[in-house]
Amino acid sequence: MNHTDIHPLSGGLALSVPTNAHIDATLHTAPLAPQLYLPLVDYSRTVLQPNVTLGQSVLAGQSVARGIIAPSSGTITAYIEHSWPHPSNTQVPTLVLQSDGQDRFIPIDHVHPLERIEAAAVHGLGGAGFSTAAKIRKACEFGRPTLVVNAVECEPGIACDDALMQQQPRAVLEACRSLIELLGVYSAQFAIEDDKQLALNALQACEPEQYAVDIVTLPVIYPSGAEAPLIQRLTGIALEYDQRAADVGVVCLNVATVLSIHNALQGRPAVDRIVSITTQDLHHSINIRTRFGTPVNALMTFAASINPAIATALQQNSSTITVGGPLSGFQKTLDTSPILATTNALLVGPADPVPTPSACIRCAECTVACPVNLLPQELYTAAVTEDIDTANRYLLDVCVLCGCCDLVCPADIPLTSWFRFAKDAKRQRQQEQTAATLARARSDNHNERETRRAQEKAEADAARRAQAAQRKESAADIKAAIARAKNRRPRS
Amino acid sequence: MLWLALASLTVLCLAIGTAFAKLDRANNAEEILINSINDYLPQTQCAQCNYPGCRPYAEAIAKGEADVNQCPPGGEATIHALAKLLGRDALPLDTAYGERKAPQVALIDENVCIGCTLCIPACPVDAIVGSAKLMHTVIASDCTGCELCIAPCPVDCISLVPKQHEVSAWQHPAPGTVHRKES
Ligand code: SF4
Ligand code: SF4
Ligand code: SF4
Ligand code: SF4
Ligand code: SF4
Repeated sequence: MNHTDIHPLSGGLALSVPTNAHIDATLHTAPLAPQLYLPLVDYSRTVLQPNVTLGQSVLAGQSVARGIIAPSSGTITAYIEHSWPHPSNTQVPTLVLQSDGQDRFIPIDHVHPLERIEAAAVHGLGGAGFSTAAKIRKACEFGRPTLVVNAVECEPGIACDDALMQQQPRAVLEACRSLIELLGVYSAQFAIEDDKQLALNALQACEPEQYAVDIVTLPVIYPSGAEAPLIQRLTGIALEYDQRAADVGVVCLNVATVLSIHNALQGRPAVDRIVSITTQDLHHSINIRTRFGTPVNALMTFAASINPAIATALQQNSSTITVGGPLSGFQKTLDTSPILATTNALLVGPADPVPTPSACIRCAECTVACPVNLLPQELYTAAVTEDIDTANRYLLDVCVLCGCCDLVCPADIPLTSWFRFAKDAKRQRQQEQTAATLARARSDNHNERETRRAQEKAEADAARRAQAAQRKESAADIKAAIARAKNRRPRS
Repeated sequence: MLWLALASLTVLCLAIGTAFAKLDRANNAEEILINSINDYLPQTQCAQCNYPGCRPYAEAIAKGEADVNQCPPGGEATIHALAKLLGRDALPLDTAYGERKAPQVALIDENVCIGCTLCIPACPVDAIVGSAKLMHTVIASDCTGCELCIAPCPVDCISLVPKQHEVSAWQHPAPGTVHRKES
């Protein structure tokens, strides 16, 4: 299908991928690690309570905490504070699963399809890691939703979706069809970049029309895969600054997530994902299907064993890696941190040193590059002074943290890091504000009640005092009467 | 004669009315100021500012009796906001009133609690539940961590613990390499 009517992205960058890059689209499978680590934290960083006990045997797919399942069968051997792939560099409560090597699965047989998806613990594999069932439920609140499948690989160096489409095009299309049926929609819009020729060929060969899948090719401009601009270009719906796709009745899912949903509907829980492992120079990349909970260092060792370039890069820098792509990623010590649903890529080898920033020269290069039409230099000034009100006026919430502004800034200002900081500061302030409002109401209640009680007590005391006085008075009256009587009738 | 009487009566009424309206407006203006100040206070109700709660402190600030730097839970953010609102200088937090601490909540050791109910009226935000001779407990989401329940407990079974795991409170730090100017 020809989609010349698709709007170009305003802003964004044509990122250069090394022309001689060697991307291995074979799907390797990592061996099952003897120990799997399951951090009990959800996407909003709330710590979850385990619902298993130490020494308990679990099957793959069995729930171990709300929204978290065992990725393989085995025994829960420990409950510890353990590192995890997150920029905070913190340790979080983690269950250790000693796998028994038998990989026995618990069947997912809930009647309602959404419950099945929930029980299978399907989470977005694109990056944010939201619960997929919740997303679909929300989008369906408005009646028949619109379905967008996002196969736009956001950054160079991440090729896990590309590999999936090349290797399993039919499974991908079937998964789209089962989602189309589940949602009761007529078709799916399947967005993919026009340079993924091999993946496109593989999909076209399977006749996507048969599956009611409408393939939309987009020019390679980073970040075409960001949700808000993608939806605007495909459906014409402009999201408000505080809206997500589901809020306007659009189900927008990453292509690998769609396959996870399909598997869940067939009864298979979501226990793995494809991870791209790429050298920092982006010259070499391999894709490995990995169980969640697999320690990153074990995965790296496996990657090094099948790709000599990665082995060399690992030798050059065996202590730190980048988790995520070259733009969105963060540095992390190479340790036993587990692979999670959001771990789409790992970069090995020495990272470029961070340049020292200088003052903003107000060249507005960042404004031109911003794909969502913000004024990054103004946002930056607000972020530096922690002026959240001003940051809001410059639409802090709209920023998708793509990193385009950083790349073009001649002053090397880490703009995106500042926006991450400002977003967190804003969230923190909002939480404090909500808590304060509630505490204030309860305190007003408390004070009002205590005052009323004190007043009631004072009134009751006064009444009692009056009564006592009266009693005293009447006692005096009686005494007087007796005295009078005595006087009248002197004893004989 | 009658007209004169009526006219003077009207004038009198108007005068009294205006006087009352003025008084009312003055009251309203002060009320609005107190409320805006109170909006910036953290509502921990801990009385560390030496006033029996956030609103009394707001009243004292509005009357000009107190400085804006006496609230440890609010810290620098509250001081800056109040200074901006009132056009006063943003003084550093007066640590004589206490230091800013990480968010905390009270936890009752339920095996030790004797159910004396003394902690209940001490809690300014009604975050403790329990009844006579029965174990008491703190509703963690309602507790502001004000510490006022610690002293009344005769068996010392209330302690303060961090409100949340380190990871839930974590924020992306400000990029360190930039020299930050003060607002
Ligand atoms: S690109 Fe950098 S230097 Fe230019 S206006 Fe933006 S922030 Fe300032
Ligand atoms: S990081 Fe935010 S401000 Fe910078 S280009 Fe991307 S969307 Fe625009
Ligand atoms: S110190 Fe701050 S939080 Fe505590 S009562 Fe005073 S104003 Fe409220
Ligand atoms: S439970 Fe204790 S610490 Fe928490 S708000 Fe009540 S009195 Fe303060
Ligand atoms: S004051 Fe202490 S012992 Fe008494 S009810 Fe409260 S927690 Fe229990």
